[in-house]
Amino acid sequence: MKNNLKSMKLIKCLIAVVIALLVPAALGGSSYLCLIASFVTIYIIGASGLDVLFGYSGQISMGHAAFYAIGGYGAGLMSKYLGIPLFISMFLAAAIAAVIGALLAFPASKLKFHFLSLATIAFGEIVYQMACHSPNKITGDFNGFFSSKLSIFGLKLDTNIKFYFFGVACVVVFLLVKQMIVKSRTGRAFVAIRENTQAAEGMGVNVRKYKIIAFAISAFFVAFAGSMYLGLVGYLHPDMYLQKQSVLFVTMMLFGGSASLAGPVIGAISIEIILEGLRTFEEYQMLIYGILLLVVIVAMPGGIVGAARDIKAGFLRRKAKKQAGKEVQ
Amino acid sequence: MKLKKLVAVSLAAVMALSMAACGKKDDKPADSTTKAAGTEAGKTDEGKKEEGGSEAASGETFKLGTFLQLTGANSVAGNESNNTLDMVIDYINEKGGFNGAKIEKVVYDSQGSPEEAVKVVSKLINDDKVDAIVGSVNSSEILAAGQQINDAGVFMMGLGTANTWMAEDWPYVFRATVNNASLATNTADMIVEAGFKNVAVVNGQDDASLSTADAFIEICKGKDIEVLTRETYAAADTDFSAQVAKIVAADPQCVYMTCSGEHIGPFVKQLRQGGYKGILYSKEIMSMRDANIAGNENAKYVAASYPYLIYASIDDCDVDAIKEVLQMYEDRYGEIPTTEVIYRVWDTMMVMWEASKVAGSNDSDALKDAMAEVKVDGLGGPLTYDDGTREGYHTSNDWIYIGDGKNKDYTKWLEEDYDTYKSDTGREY
Amino acid sequence: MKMFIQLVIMGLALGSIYSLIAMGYSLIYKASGLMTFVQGDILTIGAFLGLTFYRFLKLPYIVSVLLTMAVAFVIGFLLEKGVIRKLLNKNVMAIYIVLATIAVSYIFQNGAQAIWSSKVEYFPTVFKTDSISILGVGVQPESLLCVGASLLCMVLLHIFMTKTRVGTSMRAAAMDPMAAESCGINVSMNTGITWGLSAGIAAVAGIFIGPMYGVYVTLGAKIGTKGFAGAVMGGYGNMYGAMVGGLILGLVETFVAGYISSDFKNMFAYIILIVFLFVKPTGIFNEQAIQDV
Repeated sequence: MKNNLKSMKLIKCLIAVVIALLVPAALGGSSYLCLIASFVTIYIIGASGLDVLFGYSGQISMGHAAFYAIGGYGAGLMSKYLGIPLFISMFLAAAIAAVIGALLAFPASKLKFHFLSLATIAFGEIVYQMACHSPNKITGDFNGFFSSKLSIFGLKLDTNIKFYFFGVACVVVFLLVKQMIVKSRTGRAFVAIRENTQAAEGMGVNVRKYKIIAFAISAFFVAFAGSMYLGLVGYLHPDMYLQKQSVLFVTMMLFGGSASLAGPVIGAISIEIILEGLRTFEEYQMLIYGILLLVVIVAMPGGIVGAARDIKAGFLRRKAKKQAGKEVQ
Repeated sequence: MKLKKLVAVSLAAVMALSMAACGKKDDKPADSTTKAAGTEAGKTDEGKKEEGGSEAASGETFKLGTFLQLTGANSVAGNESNNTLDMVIDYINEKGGFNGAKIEKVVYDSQGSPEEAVKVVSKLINDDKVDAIVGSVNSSEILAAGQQINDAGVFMMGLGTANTWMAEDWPYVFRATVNNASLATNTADMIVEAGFKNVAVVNGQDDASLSTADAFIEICKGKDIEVLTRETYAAADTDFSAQVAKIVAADPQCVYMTCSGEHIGPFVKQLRQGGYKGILYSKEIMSMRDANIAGNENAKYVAASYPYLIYASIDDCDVDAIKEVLQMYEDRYGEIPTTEVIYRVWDTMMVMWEASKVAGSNDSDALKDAMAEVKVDGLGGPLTYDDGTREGYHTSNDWIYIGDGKNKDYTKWLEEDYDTYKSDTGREY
Repeated sequence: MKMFIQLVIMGLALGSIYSLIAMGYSLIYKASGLMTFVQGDILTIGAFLGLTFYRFLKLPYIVSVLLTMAVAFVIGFLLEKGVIRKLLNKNVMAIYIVLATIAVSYIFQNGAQAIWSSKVEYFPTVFKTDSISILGVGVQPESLLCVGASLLCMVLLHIFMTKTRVGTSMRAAAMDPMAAESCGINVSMNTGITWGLSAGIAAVAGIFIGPMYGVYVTLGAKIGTKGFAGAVMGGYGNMYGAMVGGLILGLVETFVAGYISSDFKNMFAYIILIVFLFVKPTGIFNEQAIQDV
């Protein structure tokens, strides 16, 4: 039975990947829609990374744009000044972000909800300020930072379609890693901490250690997404890393539903589609977005995945009731 | 439960609609495919290319794409640009459009975000298949999207004033607005003209303000003007008291500021209250709204080098061409604009119109090549593109604000009113 | 020396604006244990409302202030009733309430633009003189108004929260809503009132700073976050703490800009905040948090 369920899930995931690979064909090869699809892959990795932190280990961050910035600038600076190929420096930058994340988590893991979110906001602001006032203007400060586009072992990703396939590959790898972590001992420790920190401690879980690990993993994910952005666009500007970017990650994760594989994926896709679709409203775009967001939160807290679960459960309950009713008859 | 279902269903509907909206322009085949076919035919036969391009355009529409910041901080410039564009487009269309093609505008809100700019420009180029782009007043957005536009070979005219994006090697990108860096040279000359030996600099942190201040400080070195202190403020700051305190403590002979948007008025006000009464050179001309926020007395002696002025009312304006444009705007929107983007957009569209006449074609390459021969009487002076810099303005005018909505010619003011200024403010400089 | 005095006075004036906002955050936290991101945008709305009443409708200043407070109170109250309470009743994760307030802040900011346009509006000053001299330093009269208002609010709110029946029942409601409910306290009404009060204070701050900074749609964006920081530094939930925290933040900003570099003004403000959070999350007034830490 359990094996059956597992293979069902595997099949579902494979179908999702096949659909993802067919997306460019469905979009008619439109360069613009492929660009949006590429951004979706970036945001899926970002939102999933945040999900490891919030969804599983229960720590909130409202400053993940900082890691997004570290990934972008880190990869760009290393390839520009040290001559490391961009593809490799992307991983290095993500690793650096993970270390910084761990260092931040060391004191931050003591804090809870309100205080942690404020601490991460402050951290985000500090990194933003550093991008604005870098030593020797290495980040280009407010004039922005240009970089060459991404190429992997000589294969240039110079069109949006090519980048999209690279993005899908990254998504598959990162989501696999995320699932592996979540299903592992570490993942179970995360959930234990989220559900009841004291109880987890009582069971012998080293709360602080696991909180730090969660922070580092999530920083790695988000920073890698940030470096993907650089590979796609080739230009960075400090204003991309304002707090609203952090809020966007949180929104995507919660909109889809936290603590699940599908949630952040669905969230990233939905929010991107909504934002693109609202473009025709010009200056009312953000107003409508705000209203839509509020209505969805109030009507279905738990996100799309949560709502789907509820509706399914309700359906099953009713079915069970009916059956019970029949049996009584 | 019912509510949840309702919202779920309507959310799905919204998403479906959004997808349809995204996709719709893609399969609006009628004109875009014919145009694609036209250019494809042109590609096979190089000689026919230009002909094919103009044929596709004439008698049809000329799609003008534009990306502007319509929401958020500093979006007033974007909104007024958008209004002016609608106005100029109607004006040109009435007179026959670009080589007979009626201009049709496609606008998206870039929200002041570089990422959004990249997305909407991609949409303009690939999805809407625009023939040319006019865009953003925010230089950071042009920097983010410029490479893409140039690579696609789409003729573009930028509305920003920073020198940064024009320094990139983008042959398809032109401008008919001023270049802040060259104006900074003029401003330094104004300082020399008054005989000042030192200056305090304050700059905002959008890339136009920052790069202009950088350029100004470089220029000062060559002109023997000492920079006593340099202060900055961040985009969302509202309070400048510490910067003011430092400037006042440095006791400079004059102050140079590169502020923009909503910061000019409050900064001038706080600087005056902090105790600095002297001349304040600005990177751009002050709007009457800013002068109001600063207060009439405080706004006095703000000087700038800029091709055109912003007026409190149409009657104050003594340049006929500008008067006409302002009147047109007022007739249409019931008020005159608060910023000078109206002139930028007007000049830009006039230059593009002239280029299409010179080229006899609306094709991007033809427009680009025709630019060298374009000569237009802009609202702030002649616009020419024969020097290969892709910049239009090469001259400027020097002004100083003397209160009650009036600016005076700077040289004249130095001759006639400088002594009154000294006795009024009790300053030596 | 003159610059030092100038920095102190300017820092206190700036800090008192942060303090006003900070008190709103503290009040909401104290009374309901919740976090909000709309304070800054309510400040913007308040400034626009004041502008409408005072400049466009030509009502007397004091009437405009009172009307703005009343309207903002209603907005805050309805926000609690229409959004926050609905979510609380569903027993959702606290983060969804935070996200809801962020959505509301989008709506306020863009709604303000839809109603009042994106132009920077000029708020006529109410005082005859443009600047008052204190120890030789020119200060805008509106900043003194802010200092006065924040001191008054601090005392009144502290008395209200600790000495009155309503305040006590609010604190009880925040600590244990269930128990409070069973004691006959109308929890929902209480939190509604606190959200309304916080909105009212923020809106008044908006009116006061309008003449200094001009009125535009993102006026309150940064002040909102800074106010939050001030509230936590002083001791989240403590009215005196909010006041002191706000003032410290104001002084830090002006002094860093004055003696180090204005480039690092905001960076230092946040570094100090993060240090406070890591070293002493209970703030200067050692306010024990209701549920965290």
